Amino acid sequence: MTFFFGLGVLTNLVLAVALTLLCEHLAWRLKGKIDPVPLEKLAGERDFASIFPGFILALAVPPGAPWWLLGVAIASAVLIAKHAFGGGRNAIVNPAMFGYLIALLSYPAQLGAWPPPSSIEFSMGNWLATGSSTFLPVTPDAVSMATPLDLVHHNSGYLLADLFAERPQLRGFGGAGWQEINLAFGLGGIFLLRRGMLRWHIPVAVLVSLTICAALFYDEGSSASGGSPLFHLLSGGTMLGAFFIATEPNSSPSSQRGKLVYGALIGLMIYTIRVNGDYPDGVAWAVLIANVCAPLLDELERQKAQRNTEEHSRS
Amino acid sequence: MIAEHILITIGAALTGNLVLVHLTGMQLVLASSQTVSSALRLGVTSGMVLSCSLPILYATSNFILEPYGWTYLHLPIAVVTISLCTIGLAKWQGSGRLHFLGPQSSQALLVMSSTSVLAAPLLLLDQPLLLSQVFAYALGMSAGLVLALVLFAALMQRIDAARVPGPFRGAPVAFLTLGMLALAVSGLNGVV
Repeated sequence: MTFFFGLGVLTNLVLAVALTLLCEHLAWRLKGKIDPVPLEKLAGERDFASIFPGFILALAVPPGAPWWLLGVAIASAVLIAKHAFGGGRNAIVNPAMFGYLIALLSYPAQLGAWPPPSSIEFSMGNWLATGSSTFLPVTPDAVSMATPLDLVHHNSGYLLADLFAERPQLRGFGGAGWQEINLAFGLGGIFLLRRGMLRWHIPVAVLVSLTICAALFYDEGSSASGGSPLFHLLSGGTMLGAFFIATEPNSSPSSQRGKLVYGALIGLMIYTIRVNGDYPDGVAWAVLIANVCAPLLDELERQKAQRNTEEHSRS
Repeated sequence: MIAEHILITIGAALTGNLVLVHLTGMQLVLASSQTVSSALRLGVTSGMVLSCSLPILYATSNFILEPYGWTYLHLPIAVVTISLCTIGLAKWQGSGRLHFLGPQSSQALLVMSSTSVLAAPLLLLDQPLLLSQVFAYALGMSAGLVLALVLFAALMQRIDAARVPGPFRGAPVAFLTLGMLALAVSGLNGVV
């Protein structure tokens, strides 16, 4: 991602980790439990779970986004979505996505200002500038370019084939830079699956559901089409969402069937919001919608198990 | 034609959700959050009141109040119609035909009729709909109300088991949860 979008990705990561630790420290101090708060407690013990929302947010906001944008997103994520509900395992929604959406609704221009991928136009000056613009007052349009999803979303009057032929951002299946990044996230997810660090249910359900929706409504590129299945799989935050965001254990259902329904709902929502909604990419919204449905899915599973037990004991 | 009615229903349930988008009847949602099953019963009950009263109110408004210029009577007639529907439903329930709604529903109905249900006909006044579309709208409003009640109840059940910090326990965390639910639904803006 740093190769395609510049030094700003690394700046975001470093800044996000620092801000997350700061917010965690503040939250623990406000709870008044530990003074001083040890660093391993702030980082989430051994698995560094506490800094994970910061990591996700650093990858979700545009490289070189102003520092206060990350600050707003991380403070919302850590202080409101996580610690106001009791912290860690008690969060009802994915803290990173909640923070991202608060930032998106508050500062939409800054969150839509993605720099052009280096595979379209490489300039060492711009590549380095994304790192420094975090702390400098640069207007969002100065070094930004519409993403592939933005282009398809805002040009519904064009034939997709024409749009893909005219715009350099739409090179390949999922757009220049974006398809490589999505493939990399996908490979990372598969690696975690093979190591047994992730369960397959949610990512597979998300990707299958999104593919089916896109295939059902794809008509080879008319202006009414939302894009091919490959375009949806390899563009925006699909792979990051499917493997690293939707699988967050605290806000997803616990049963296997629940996970499949949850993942399918996310895929359906991503497609619906991308094609018919007000926002070009629907990953964050889709995850939040599925998060609020997760306790109901768990409850339905619990009731079903209870009914089965009663029937079993009766027979 | 059918697609249009389906879109009206989905739109009223999601993008025009009575509780999560128009933010009416929040006290009802907060009051009915003990269990999913009680929220479901309350939602179904309120949905029945909505589905009965909205078409009656629409017909009264379009065929009597508007032609004679008695539009100032919208609100009192809405209150009377909803109350009559509520009483009718409570009596029907009392006869044992609606036993699945449970004993607490009739009391809750009285609370509801003054809040979220009353807001629905007032919202309806701004929509240029045909009578058949009003049925679809009422159905969507009812489904949206059930959805909000059930989702919120399931979330609150989970939060009850969590270690919420003292200052956030009770109403603060309930309002935060309701806000998150409303935020999630707002992602569907523009879909319908």
